[in-house]
Amino acid sequence: MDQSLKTREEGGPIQFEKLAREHLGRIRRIARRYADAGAVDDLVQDILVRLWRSLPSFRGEAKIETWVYRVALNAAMTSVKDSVRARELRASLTEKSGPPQSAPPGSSAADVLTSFMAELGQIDASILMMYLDGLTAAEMSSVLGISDNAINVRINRLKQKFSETYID
Amino acid sequence: MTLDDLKAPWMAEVLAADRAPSLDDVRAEIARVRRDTRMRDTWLILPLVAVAGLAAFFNWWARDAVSLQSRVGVLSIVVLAVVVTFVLLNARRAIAPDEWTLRARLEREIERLSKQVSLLLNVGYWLLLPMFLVIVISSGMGQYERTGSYLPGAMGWKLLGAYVVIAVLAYWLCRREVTRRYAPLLDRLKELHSDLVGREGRRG
Repeated sequence: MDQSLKTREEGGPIQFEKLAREHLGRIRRIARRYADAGAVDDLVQDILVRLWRSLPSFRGEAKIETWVYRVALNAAMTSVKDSVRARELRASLTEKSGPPQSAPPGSSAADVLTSFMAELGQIDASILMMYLDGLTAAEMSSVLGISDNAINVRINRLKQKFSETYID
Repeated sequence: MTLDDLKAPWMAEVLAADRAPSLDDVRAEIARVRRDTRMRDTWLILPLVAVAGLAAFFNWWARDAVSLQSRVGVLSIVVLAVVVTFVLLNARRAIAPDEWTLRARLEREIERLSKQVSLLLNVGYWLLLPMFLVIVISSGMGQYERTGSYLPGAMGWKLLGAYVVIAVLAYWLCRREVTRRYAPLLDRLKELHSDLVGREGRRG
């Protein structure tokens, strides 16, 4: 799946479209976690543009998923385009509605996933996404820039938090 | 249920082709980014061209100026233009690449925003006050050449007063921009960085 990108000189635009199609689901899911409902499409587009922009620097040494996560999380978390007013509004709405509710007993795994993801902070949510996607601690470390050990500690905490909330 | 049981629904969501990729929109956005990059580069060059033009103009204008006072006035304008251009270009350095690690990118963004905040908060020191001094010096020198006195006439006092009003307004606008836009963004990025590095960062 990833081999075509290693020889990017053979033709940029077609390869980028292939990349976009293959990873759109992943990108959209990341965007859904970090953007408001009405802004998901904008964030997806922003991530795709950044992927296109940084494609020439991708040397194919890392797994493509790792690179996609790096670019997508950077876009989602460090973009300064988001207006302060929008963020203030979002924060006040969160305060009014209180913390996210845990999925009730008997919920589907998809509901539990959505609910648990909403309970987490931005960094922990990113680690959870990469963990569920099968990235190793070393790969997550290369995305976030913190040590493997710190990643493992946070994954264990996530597992503990999950079992405390959703234990059978 | 364990955390690993969420892998299946996650992969189902990741692989679900809920919507065809809107690549036409992306292509349009890419074209817009290219245009913006060209425009940004143009705007980056403009201040340099303006300063060079200004220096050349005043050099020509002062070619017959025999007095030291005139030359000091001209020199102060050119020096201010060069310094201001340097400060502005330095603050507009490109943002970190998208493929950096999140930590590196956050640190670069925090550094960049901190510089911009500092630039705006200190606008009085690097722009408004030097500009005031340059106006006073150059107009005083001109006034001396014409009348033999450094003190400005009635119109000169009015112009200086107008400058002070504009400078105060500019200073207030800069502080407002920091409070409303940059400081909240900076706080958000610092909070995120702190959450990311946690104890590891504090040890380092």
